[in-house]
Amino acid sequence: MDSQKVDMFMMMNSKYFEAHQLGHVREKLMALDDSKSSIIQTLQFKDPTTALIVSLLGGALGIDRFYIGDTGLGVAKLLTCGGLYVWMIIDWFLIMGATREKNFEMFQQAVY
Amino acid sequence: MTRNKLYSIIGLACASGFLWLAAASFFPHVSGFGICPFKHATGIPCPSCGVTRAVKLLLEGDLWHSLLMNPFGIIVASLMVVLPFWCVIDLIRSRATLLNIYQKSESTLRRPWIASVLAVLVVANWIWGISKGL
Repeated sequence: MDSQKVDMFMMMNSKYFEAHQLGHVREKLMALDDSKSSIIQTLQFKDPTTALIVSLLGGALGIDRFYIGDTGLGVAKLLTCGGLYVWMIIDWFLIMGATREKNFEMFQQAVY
Repeated sequence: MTRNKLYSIIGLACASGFLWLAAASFFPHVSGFGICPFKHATGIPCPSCGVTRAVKLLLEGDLWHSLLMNPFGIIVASLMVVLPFWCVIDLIRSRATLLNIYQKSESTLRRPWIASVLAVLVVANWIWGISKGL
């Protein structure tokens, strides 16, 4: 992809990734074939802020984990009432990072 | 999700589950008091209220009353029995069969019609639990 498109992508999507992943994302995009650029631009990333709101409201039922695509952990949270609220409170702090990790995984799957 | 991360989460969850079960068996008044913060805050039971009682009934061999208490109890109990052994066997043979099955079942659960059927079941179970007054 040419650098203008890459810059555009980085501007629009930098909030969906961890800061330390941005360099890697940029490198991958620069080396990416043009035929894949349309796939990359149509990826739907999950917003970490939305995930945090969902976690605050529905964390006890595991809805935050379902939202970011961690279905297995969502089921575990649902069956244990948010890990007896302990896991729910831990997830208030972890969910934004977990969302960014999931976005990065999705990006990598689309690139390879 | 890497293999070791998943297996440590499973180990931690099962260990705390067995600890909680032991605490509920040796100090019945603690679990009888009702630990669920959701129930304390809102006055209605959460979807997984009654799971401890269901697992305890299952341990006493009373499958029918365990089902009537909360059907989630049987799911939780079987996961708690099967998953630790599966993890240990996987670690000994240095394979990742559980991780593969986990990822496959995740993508199965994400298919819209399966997800919606299960969500309806969970909500129905919740309504049943509220009407039973768990």
